[in-house]
Amino acid sequence: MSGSPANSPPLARGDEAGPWSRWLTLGCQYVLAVTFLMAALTKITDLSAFRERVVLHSGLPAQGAELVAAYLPWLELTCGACLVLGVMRREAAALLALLLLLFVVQALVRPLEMDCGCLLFLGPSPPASSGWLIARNLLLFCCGIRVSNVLVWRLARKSRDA
Amino acid sequence: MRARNFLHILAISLALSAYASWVLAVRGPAPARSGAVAAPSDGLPLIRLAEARALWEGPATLFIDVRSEADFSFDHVPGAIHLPEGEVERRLPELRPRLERASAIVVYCTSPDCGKALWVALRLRNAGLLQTRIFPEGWNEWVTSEQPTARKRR
Repeated sequence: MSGSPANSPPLARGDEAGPWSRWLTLGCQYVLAVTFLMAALTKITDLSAFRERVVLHSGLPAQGAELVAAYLPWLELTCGACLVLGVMRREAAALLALLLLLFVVQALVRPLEMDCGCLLFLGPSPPASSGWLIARNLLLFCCGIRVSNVLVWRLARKSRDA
Repeated sequence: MRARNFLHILAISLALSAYASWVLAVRGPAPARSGAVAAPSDGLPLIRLAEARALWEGPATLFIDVRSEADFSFDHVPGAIHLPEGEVERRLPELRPRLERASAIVVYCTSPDCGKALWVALRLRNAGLLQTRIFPEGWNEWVTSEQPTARKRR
């Protein structure tokens, strides 16, 4: 890693940070991509089971749970694919950060007793502790914020407007 | 960041979701999974621990805890609904959509000496929920055999 532009990962417009920062962003991008592609594929390979779990155990109203179960895996898949391909990556990361924030709020307000088994290809297991789930989701949320550059974008826009 | 790109991502996800929903609708409901056996036509089946555990692991099973509020608050089977005997009639309309959706309903109390599970299971069955089962050994057996509980993960 010499830090020359030729060795630096490709970045979106507006990212003018140094090489280390760029590699960090790229790392966050791929961590998010792999995590959400795995999560999506786990759900998509058994959509009916995922739907049953969401409807019966999420505590959401039946129709809301149906919508979430029908839409969430595909949103995760699309965002994960965008991050892997580097297409619309900031928007995809921002959407995933928003999703992760919702998951954290949900875990704080109403922790789920049943493990939805929706992140990895694992067999039935005792549910993970909600503390671990919150910490994991917060870490991924930080990755999302990093890749989406949403804070930098907002600050830049503010300074431009000022 | 462009609003148009957000719309692209949301639209692609929506299209995939619509296609998947259509395929699932055309294919019809999934067959019963291992552990989640089909509803029996008569009688109230009694199940043992191994079957209760297998059903708990299935995605479409609901556990009903008929013990007291204090016992339930202290600990229970993860995902179980608390439905004491005296509240069945009042809460059944509210719970019915979830119960009807479940491929198996497992009612449990503290131990085989507790008759509440039978009464609640009978009421559920009479309300048309034929997939109801009783786990007579109940909570004592579940917890002494070190099965997952809601408290363990806190």
